[in-house]
Amino acid sequence: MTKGRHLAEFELFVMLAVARLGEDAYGAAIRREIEDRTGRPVSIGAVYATLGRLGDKSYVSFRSSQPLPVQGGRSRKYCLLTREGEAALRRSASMLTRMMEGLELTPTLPGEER
Amino acid sequence: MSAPPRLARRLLSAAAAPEDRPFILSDLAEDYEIQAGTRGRSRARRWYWSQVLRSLPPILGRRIRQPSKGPGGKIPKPMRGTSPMLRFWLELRQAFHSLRRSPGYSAIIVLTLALVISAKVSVFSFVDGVLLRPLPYPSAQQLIFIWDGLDWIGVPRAWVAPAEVEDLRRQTTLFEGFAPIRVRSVRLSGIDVPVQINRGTASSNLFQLLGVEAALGRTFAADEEGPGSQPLVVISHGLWKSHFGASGEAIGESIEIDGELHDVIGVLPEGFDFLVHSSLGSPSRADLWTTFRVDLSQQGYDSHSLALLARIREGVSFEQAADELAAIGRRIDEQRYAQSGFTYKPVSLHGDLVRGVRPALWTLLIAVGFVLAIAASNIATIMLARTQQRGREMAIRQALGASRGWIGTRLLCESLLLGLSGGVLGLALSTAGVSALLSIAPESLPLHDAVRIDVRAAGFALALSLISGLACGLAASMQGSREEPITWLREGGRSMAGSRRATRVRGMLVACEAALAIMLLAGAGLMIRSFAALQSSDPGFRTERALTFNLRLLQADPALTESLMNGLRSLPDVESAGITSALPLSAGASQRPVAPQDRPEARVQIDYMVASPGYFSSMGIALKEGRDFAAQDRADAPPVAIVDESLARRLWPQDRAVGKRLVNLTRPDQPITVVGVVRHARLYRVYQDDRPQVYVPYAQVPFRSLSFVLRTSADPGSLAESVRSEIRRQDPQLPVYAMQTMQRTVDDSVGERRFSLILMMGFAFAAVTLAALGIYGVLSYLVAQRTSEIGVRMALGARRSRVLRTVAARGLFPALAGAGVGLAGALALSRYLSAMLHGVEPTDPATYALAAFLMLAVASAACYLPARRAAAVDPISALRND
Repeated sequence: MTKGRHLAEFELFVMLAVARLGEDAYGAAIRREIEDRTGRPVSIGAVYATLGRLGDKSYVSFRSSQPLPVQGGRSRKYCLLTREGEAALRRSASMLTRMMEGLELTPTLPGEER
Repeated sequence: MSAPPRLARRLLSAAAAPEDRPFILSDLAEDYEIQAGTRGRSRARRWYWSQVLRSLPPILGRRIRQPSKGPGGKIPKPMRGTSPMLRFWLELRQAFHSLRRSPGYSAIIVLTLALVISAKVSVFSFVDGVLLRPLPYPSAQQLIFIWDGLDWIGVPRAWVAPAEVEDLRRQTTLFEGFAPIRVRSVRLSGIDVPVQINRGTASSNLFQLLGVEAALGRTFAADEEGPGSQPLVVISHGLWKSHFGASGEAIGESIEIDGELHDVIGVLPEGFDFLVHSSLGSPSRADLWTTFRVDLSQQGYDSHSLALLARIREGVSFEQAADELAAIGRRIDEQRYAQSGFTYKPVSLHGDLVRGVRPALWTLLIAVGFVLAIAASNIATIMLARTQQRGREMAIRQALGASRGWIGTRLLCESLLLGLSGGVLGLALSTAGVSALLSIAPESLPLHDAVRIDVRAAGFALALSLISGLACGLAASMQGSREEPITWLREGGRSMAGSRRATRVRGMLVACEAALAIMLLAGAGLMIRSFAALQSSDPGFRTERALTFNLRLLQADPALTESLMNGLRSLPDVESAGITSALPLSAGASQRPVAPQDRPEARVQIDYMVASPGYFSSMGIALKEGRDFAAQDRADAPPVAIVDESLARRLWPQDRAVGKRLVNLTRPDQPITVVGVVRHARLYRVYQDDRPQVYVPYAQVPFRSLSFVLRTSADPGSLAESVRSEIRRQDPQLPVYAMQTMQRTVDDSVGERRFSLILMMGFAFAAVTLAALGIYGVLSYLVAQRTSEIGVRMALGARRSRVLRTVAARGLFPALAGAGVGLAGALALSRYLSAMLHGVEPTDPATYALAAFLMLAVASAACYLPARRAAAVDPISALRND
């Protein structure tokens, strides 16, 4: 559950994924992006529910694509960070950075076992 | 390209918000294809399912919470617009999460339910396997056994005489056929070590009537019986395995049965276990089958020696067939028995087999049901208490717009989930339960091979867990949905324990538990007393240090018998030895009509046995009058007999029996002089007197089936090997069989009763313990909830003793009321127990008084502990906590 303007962890993940994917950010791609980077299983439902919430807060905007003109073509709901979204992301990221300052944690790389 | 699992897809489609639906499905399909391409189809399907199941909570959570989408800005009802199926599923899921938050509470309930459900399912699988499941023959309900009723001579259930079979075949129209059967012990030789086995001799149509075909080879053809027919044999699967190494070449081989060669023509299927019912004793099974090679219709009407199996025609009811038999019976009664009351007694194959155990098994199933009900009441009170504690949560939910019905549903879902978990765990436990029960079940329990946990037991467990889940949650659910939210908030869920309705419900549950527990206590008490009476009843012989076994000679051989007996007597630790034709409790005697020579009209049907000198002292049968058989009772000496005291009393009530003369009415030309009177040694059941008995000396009536008894000075079991080697030394071809101690015979004969008793005691113990826990729990809860109230009362001057009394009365009063109802119920049900009781009246007042006393003692103890805690409340600290 969101606490006002602040982002919950999973919301942060979703927005970071959207930012990374840029033009190609849609549900399945976001799901895979988070799963690949964090190594934690992510359900498509969680992604959509979060996107919905972020949409309510106007942090992301959506556009839907028509099915691709090939067999089995998909319809996709692409999303993009809005200006408010970018601001919120920056805010959260800087809060996180400030909290991390001076802390010595052994960094782990993706794919590395802790 | 494979498609995602359809059901999962539909589930997701139903749950997703309409605006997201096509995208979410398409996204997941895309990932599914990737998964299928890299990890294979079945893993991809599993992956898809897990995605869907994990997606449901966030998606639905969002749909529920999404504000201002409902009409008119109202807070939406939970999950408006979702299908009922899905809603139910979601409720269960929510319930699961809610229960996971209180693991201790959930674990206690699931474990309690699992234990009682496993007990119930285990007993049910006995009832199902033994009583409910039909025998494994086609149209098994059409198969019956027919007995002769010779009630006027004291034999209500006699074997059928050979000549009757042909009469019945000629006169009936409603039967497909009749198969006379005789089972005898025979010697199987021509193999490495001769063994004694059971041979069934039957008419050639037996297997056709049963609807059984050979697994290997064939069964008998219609003409393979009667005089001049070939000696052929069909063997059981077990014998085929043990003596032919399960070889296909067994067919066509010859085996020697009682010295006569028979050709093996077929092997019966594995699991074919046809029990031939007996007129008096326990049913027997045959290891091999032959046909009658004599003309039965020439064998007359006097020797009642055959079991008669019949198959009623398809479409004809048992009653119609019984009517036809009754009409034929009346004609025979007129023609042959001068209207003495001859009848035919048809019994169903299955019903007859289980008639002895039916009352016990049903009683046990009901008893374990009581235990289940008590456990369920306990769980209901725990749930009720939890509902009270969650008052605030409920109030907030209601204030936010949840309907009362919805709260009730939620609570019910929780209890349903607990019930189902308990059921699944219980089913798993019940496989162990069934093995445990089978290990204490008596060998003589019919059809116990059919007892197992199967689909039917699983279905029963499922139904049981649903019912108990619903029943347990009902009180809490009604309470939860009834209460006004303001009550919850005002009372803060604290003093809700005092809410009058909840108190009443709790009181009723305690009363029910006490009622059920006292009924089980009374039942168990009656059975204990009955079993004690059995144990202390005097069977007429001594059981300790007696070893018995059987030998069957190919022909009567007095010289060999004498030498065997002398050889056995000379073994170390053997005090004495004797021979008879029928050991006590063996039901092995034949019946004869006898009368005093001077009064042939005073006819008595007796059990007729042969005995050697020394038999009575070896068996511990007391000689009351006259003398034992002795060497002087030779074949050429005048015929003599020893009678039991019941015949002596009956024929010569005023007089000494010794010196009187009897005639055996089947051979009236030979009067027999009574030389002694012995105690009546029970021949059928250890707890029941039976027919009068007459013994004749071995030397005058030579016979082949010898039953030995050895009275020993050491543990009789330790003599087994030396006995066997002594017999082997005298005749290596003579198999010893049925060797066991007399104590074992007696134990076996009460095995079924012991089994019921152990279970009943276990159930009664569980019931009383559970009821005590229930009473204790209710009162403890009450005290905990009312500590501050008690503090106020004490601050205002209430005495401790009064507090103690008041609190204890809260538990004792409903327990007393329940006990009263329970006693009345036990009395009402007691007559159903009477078939299982011996030596005690089903309404025995002492037992009921004891049960009531015990129940009240336990209830008082359960009340005392919380009441003492209440009386120890320190007013100051109680008020400070408030």
